[in-house]
This record gives sequence, C-alpha cells and structure tokens, in this order.
Amino acid sequence: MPTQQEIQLLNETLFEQLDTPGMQKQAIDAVNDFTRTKMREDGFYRRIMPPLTITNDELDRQVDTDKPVKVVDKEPDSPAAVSLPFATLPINFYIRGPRYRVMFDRIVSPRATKDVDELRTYVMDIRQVLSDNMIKDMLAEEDSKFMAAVNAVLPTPGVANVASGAVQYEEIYGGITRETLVDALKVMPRTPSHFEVETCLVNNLTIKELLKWGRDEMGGEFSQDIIKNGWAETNFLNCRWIVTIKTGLVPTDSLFMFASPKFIGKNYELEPTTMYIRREAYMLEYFAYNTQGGSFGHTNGLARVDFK
Amino acid sequence: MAAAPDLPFEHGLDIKKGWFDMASLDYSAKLSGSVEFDVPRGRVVHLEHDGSGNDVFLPGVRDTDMAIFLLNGSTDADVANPGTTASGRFMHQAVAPTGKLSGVVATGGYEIDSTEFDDSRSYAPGDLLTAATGTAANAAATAGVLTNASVTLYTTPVVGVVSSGKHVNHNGVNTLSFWSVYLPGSAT
Repeated sequence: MPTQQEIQLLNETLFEQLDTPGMQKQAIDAVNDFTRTKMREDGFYRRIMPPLTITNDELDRQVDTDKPVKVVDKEPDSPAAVSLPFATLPINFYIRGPRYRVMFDRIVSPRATKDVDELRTYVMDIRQVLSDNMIKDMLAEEDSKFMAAVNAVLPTPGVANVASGAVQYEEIYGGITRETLVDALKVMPRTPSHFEVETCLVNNLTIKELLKWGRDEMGGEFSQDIIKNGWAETNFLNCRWIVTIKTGLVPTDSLFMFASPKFIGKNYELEPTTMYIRREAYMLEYFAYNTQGGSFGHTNGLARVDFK
Repeated sequence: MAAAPDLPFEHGLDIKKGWFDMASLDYSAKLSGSVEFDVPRGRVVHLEHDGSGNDVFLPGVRDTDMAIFLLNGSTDADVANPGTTASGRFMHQAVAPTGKLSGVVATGGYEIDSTEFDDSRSYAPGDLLTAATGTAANAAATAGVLTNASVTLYTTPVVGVVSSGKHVNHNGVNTLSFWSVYLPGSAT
C-alpha cells in the first residue's frame, strides 16, 4: 500500500499532467498501465479465453458493411478411413472448410465528470479509486456477455446439444462429493470431440462445498492446507479452478467447464482498454472503453453441471 | 440463389445538425423479441419494458411514445452475429455483439436526413411526421417508417417536422430531411 504522501504525490502528478498543454497523453498512459493489469486479473472471460490482439490488416472487409468483421476457419470434418480389400480405390470427397464470423462491439464505462477542486480534497489514490468502478462495470459487462453466450449453447439440462448431439449440461444428484465431481468431469469428454476440461468456473459459495471434504476425500496436506487457509486458486483434479463472486452470472452449485480456448473459439481485442481523459477549464471528464469481438466456433468444449 | 447484399448507405440516417457531440442525447436497447422482421437503420422506434423489465425497442410510435431514430439496424455487424444456418445447423455462437441498437432521441434537437420514409408522398417544410407501429412480418415495409399522412396534432404522436423535405442524396438514395420533435398524441 502506498503511503498517504505517495498518494498525494500521485494525484499531484496527475493534475500536473492534465494542467500542462500537450500532456494529456501522459496522463492517459498513467491510468492505462494500471487499467490493463486489473482487467487481466479480474475478468474470468479473459482468463478462460485470453484476448488476442487483432489489427486492421487482419480484419476481413465485407461488401455490405464497413464495420469490422473477422472470418475464422474451422477444422473440417472428414470421412473416416476404412479397411478395404486389394484392388479397391478410396471414395472421393470434395474439400469444403467451414468458417464463422467474429463481429465486434464496444464496451464503454459511464462517463464521470467532476470539478477538479473537489477532487483535491480526496486523500486516497485518486487514480485507483476513480478507475476501479469503471473497470468493474466493464468487467461485469464482458463476463455477462460471455455467460450469455455459454447459456445460449447450454440452455437446458439433460437436452442434447444441437451441434454435438451429446448432453453437455447435466444435473447430478448427491451434492458436491468426490464422486459427483469426477462424474461432472466426464460430461465434456463424452462429446464426439473427446476434449478434457482445462478450466472450471464456480462461484465463491460453491467452492466452499469443497472445504467440507474430509481428509480421505481431499487427500493429505492439501486438505490440511485448505481447512487452515481456505481455498486458494490452484490446480485441482488436473483443472484450473476460477472462483468468481459474480453469483448472478455463475449460480451457486453450478460448475461451468471449458476446454482449452483453441478448441472453443476466438476472443479478439481490436481496441485495448483505453482511458479517455479531458479537462476543460475546471471540469474533468473521463471514461474507459474497448472494442472486442468473440464467437464460439465450436461448442463441444463447453459443459455445465448443476449439483443437486 | 444467394441473397443480394445491401450497400452500406441504402438505409440509414445522416444527422445534418446536432450530432456528434459527447452530450448528444442517444439511447441503446435491444429489439423486442416480438418483432418478426429485420429493422433497418433509420427506422423510428420507441422504448418499452419487456416481460422481464428490460428495455426494448419496438418499431413506430403510438400515444405518448418518445421517438428514437435508429443509427443501427437489427442486422448490423455491431448488433447481431447470427450463428445458425437457415436449415438450423450450428455455425457459431456469438459472444459479441449483444443485439443492442442505438438511436438518437427525438427531443435531442437534430436535423436528420433519413432513408426510412414513405417516398410515394409529397412533403413540404413544416409538415408533421409520424411513424406507424407494427411487429408482424407483414408490417416490415411500414412500421417505423416516416410519413406525413393522417397526422392530427395531439391525437397522432408527432416525431418530426419537415425541413428541406424529400430529395435524392449524394448516394443516389431518396431521403427526407426533418427536424426531430416530440409532440405526444392522445394518451390511452
């Protein structure tokens, strides 16, 4: 934690940069460094599908719109190999590769305005406090979009997914035990793609069910450690576990499972998170924005289990 | 046969005065699920709450609805990215965009040049404009389309007053220039 003197120095530095003509860029950069770090740490969408930077040259121009679009190739299916007797030729198939589109929109924080003289009375790190709320808004929106897409793929428990023909959203009875959790990890590999779960997403209430596991279930020192220190982010059952406090997006007793992002789709970042700051006379205004696009090109790498 | 694409300027608004500025009055919401047709850029919509209390746009205005002139169409690349083929096969599931459209609000004080008007009629400066409602597929050509037909002040909701009127714009598309206003119709 910075000291109060350091915080005041930071605030004064920000004001100086805003006061000096032509120095707005430096002020923006000062906030940007902090902003981008927080985004990577806090948004679970970005951790499950890390954003890939895309440049103008990589966009695919369209006839009917001047808005950015990226066309992504998908691995094609092919007829299976067969055993044949001698003097027999193979069947033909014409190569046709499927593709899908990634389109973009913008996430914008609310625009904050304030009289700079009122800002002078704050003694906390003003850059951190003021940008934190905006980042939280943007992260919530980003994660909300991601979960809306996941829920669109997995709408109803027990119903086969349109693309895979396999059930990827199941209800498992018996609470969260070693047996039910291992059963949950079988849902994704049952699809024709046979993907293994790489990342598990649960909320901060669901994860506490694991604290109830006995030493015989959890195993040795790990059990001792979590009963002493609580759940720390770690690999468990050969999966990375992400715990979120966004219980509105990830319901309690639900487990969302994701394969490696290369099997799911693309999350492109066309414009990284940028803080716009402007000072006009004594009024300060600022907001953050970014431009992102994402699509699941293949949904066999998504699964969900609700524990009952 | 493949569907013929639109040119980017065939439907839409040029806002001649009053936009773009950080303080411009606009509004964003998803299109109501009850709308059975693609809504082009430039159409007039109004705001309602759906069954879950979410903001949604519906084409046209009635009673005391506030008019919103759409900057985005419902099929624009920053609004929708459908991932199911016509025969129902999966292609992709979009994370973005989310289906939100944006438009300028009639009280914002704009002079607008819109492609979405009844170009079979004549328009004179000062004519009052309204836009019919409709969500069914057979309303696709009329719902949210500007017209000066059958406008009775304070009975029909008025969304604009004709400025320079009808002309062919620089893209060769028929457009109607008007100032946005809000004159409510009779309340139900």
